[in-house]
Amino acid sequence: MDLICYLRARNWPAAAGYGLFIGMMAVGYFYNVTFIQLGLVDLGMRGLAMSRAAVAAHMAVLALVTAVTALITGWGMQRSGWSTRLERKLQLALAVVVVQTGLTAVAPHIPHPTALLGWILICSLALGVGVPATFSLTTDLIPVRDRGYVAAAITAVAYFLAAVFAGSWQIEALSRLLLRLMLPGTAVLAAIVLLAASGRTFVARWVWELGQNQREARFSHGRFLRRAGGHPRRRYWGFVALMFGIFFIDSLGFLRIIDTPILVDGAWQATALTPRLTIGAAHVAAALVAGVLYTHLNERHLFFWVFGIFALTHLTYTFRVWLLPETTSLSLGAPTLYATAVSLYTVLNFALWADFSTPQTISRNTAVGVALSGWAATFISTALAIQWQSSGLALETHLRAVNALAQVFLLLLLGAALWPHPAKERL
Amino acid sequence: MRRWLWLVCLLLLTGCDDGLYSGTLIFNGDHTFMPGTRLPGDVFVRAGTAEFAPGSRVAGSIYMLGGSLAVNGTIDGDLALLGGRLVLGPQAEVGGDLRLGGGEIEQAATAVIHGQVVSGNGVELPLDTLAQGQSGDDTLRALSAALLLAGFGALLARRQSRPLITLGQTAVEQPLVSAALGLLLLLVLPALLVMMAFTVILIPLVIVLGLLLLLLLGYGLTAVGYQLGTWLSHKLNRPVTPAWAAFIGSVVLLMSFELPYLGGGLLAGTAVLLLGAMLLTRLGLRPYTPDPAITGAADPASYARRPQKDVS
Repeated sequence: MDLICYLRARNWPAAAGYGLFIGMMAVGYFYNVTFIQLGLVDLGMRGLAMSRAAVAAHMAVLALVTAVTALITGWGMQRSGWSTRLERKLQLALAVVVVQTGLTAVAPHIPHPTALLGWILICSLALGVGVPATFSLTTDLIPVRDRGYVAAAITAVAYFLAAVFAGSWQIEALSRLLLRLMLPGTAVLAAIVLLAASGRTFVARWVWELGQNQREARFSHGRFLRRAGGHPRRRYWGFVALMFGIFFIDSLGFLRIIDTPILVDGAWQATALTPRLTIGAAHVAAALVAGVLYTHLNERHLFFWVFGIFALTHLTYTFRVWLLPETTSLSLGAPTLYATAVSLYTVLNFALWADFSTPQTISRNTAVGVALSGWAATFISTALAIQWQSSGLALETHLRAVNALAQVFLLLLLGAALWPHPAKERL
Repeated sequence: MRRWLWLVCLLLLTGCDDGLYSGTLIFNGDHTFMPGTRLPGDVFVRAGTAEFAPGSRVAGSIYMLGGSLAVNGTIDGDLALLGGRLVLGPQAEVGGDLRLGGGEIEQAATAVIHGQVVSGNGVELPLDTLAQGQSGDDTLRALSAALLLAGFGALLARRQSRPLITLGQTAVEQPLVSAALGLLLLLVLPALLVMMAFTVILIPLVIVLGLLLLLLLGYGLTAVGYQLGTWLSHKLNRPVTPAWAAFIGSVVLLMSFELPYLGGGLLAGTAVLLLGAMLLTRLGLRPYTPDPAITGAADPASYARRPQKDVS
């Protein structure tokens, strides 16, 4: 692991770069999975008494604008050369964090649906800029060999916080919680950016040193660009499609599960701490496992595991709904499986795009990858899940549809794996 | 191909009536089991109505998830109620426990429960067959099992040592990735087996898979035993043949699982490593070599800080 080598060599600036990246990405992802995905739905339906269909439409707008903004920003950063300038990326990240902090503070006080739409548009623009700006820090701060482990750390922190501390999923509580995290984070990031710009401080020296990392091959050349005989571009688009499938399946199933009290009361929304701690621990363990596997195995195997576990999880839920009486509370087996699958793919999402990129292309590649597969898929499926629910689709049918999708992806992946390849890859 | 045919035969045998496992599934309609009727295995009631008349007998347990059930006969195993309506008549006799997790129950005063009445919503699925034979923890029994497995290991090491070596080396030399894969498998397998058992029709396959897993675990243990035996022979400076290395190592390894306090953890850790290593090497048939660019060592000097003069 390169981090240990940096620590042994007393290269504290490089080691501190890991901390900066993990901190920023973990808080950012925690914000996305709680405030954006759960808080906005609560704000629309409970706070503003909007219909499910109206909330679905607003979420679709958020998805579309975020994805388009991310694509434009990523492409623009590549064209202007900002993709290779660490200082500029930190300034962009600071701007995004300041806007999001302000939006988080005002969200509980939004008075009517039109104001919510305005809020969503500003939020989407900020998120769209934030995706390429923050993800592209990977080539400056994290060497290729450690990307799996770092992605595991980000995932573990974000999901543990989300499972244990997210509480009631109501916009007011989420806003207070996020502000407690974001205000000090914003202050630290602002201090770094300002001191880095001022020239002769130790922070400027530190940022300069971090900015030079991308000149080294161990940072600049992603692992999927190295392999001879492969087709990086074709594989890249294949992974965009697969990640789209994963995000889509996850949100489509999860949004319905969390809206069914019997399935969440003893798990994600349990009043007792033990079930939430169990789920949080499962997230952490699965993230660490995924970090090790990402580093040591072919990424295709991780995709197999993710789709396989998703299929099994939704089968578990479908069986529970179909077979057991409604009075029977669910054991923690299914939520634990769910947490495992989610952590596995999140690790992939954090490490994959940078490993297809150079410092010049990372802003565009992460923008395309995260915007198309992550944001677009998540919010389209969120909108679809709410639409299905409002049209009266039964829970069992909903979960069976999600399960069928997971199995289709698994079978497609199996088919692709069995298709004869010109050059056999390592396991 | 022949080995697959054997597997299919075994599967078919387990599925036969009165074989290793059989059961009755009631999903709808009205069913009356007359005096003298004997059902050989477990009974699952999801919906519909069923009545066991006096003199009828169920050799296994009854699991009730819904519908309506009236019992006036004898149940040799447990009676688990999760949903629906259950009437225990005056001549009803339950050999095992009465487990109540939901639903409604009406019990005659003369109905006999030989076991305990347990409240709670856990369903005990009929997977006990897999656990049978694993309960013996006395040293003599463990030693005989260890000797048997060690003999099997010695035979393997003598005839086909390459997969054994590959598997054992991967488990020992790549512990991180083996443990990670093993943990993942350990999480998924029980869920998968329980899901299959829920379908009832796949219970025979669950039993076959369980037995297969035990066989694979035994094979893996002999692979690690072989590594342990080789290491011991080097340490003690007493060269032995591969067969003896596998035999001695397997006995030492298996007996170490009997150590108080440590044994259980050691067995669990070894099993996790083995499961992962088996997946990585496809049961030892293919060596696992990690990408040196990602996992190999690098020059320590290249990690030092950049000199100050570069700042400009």
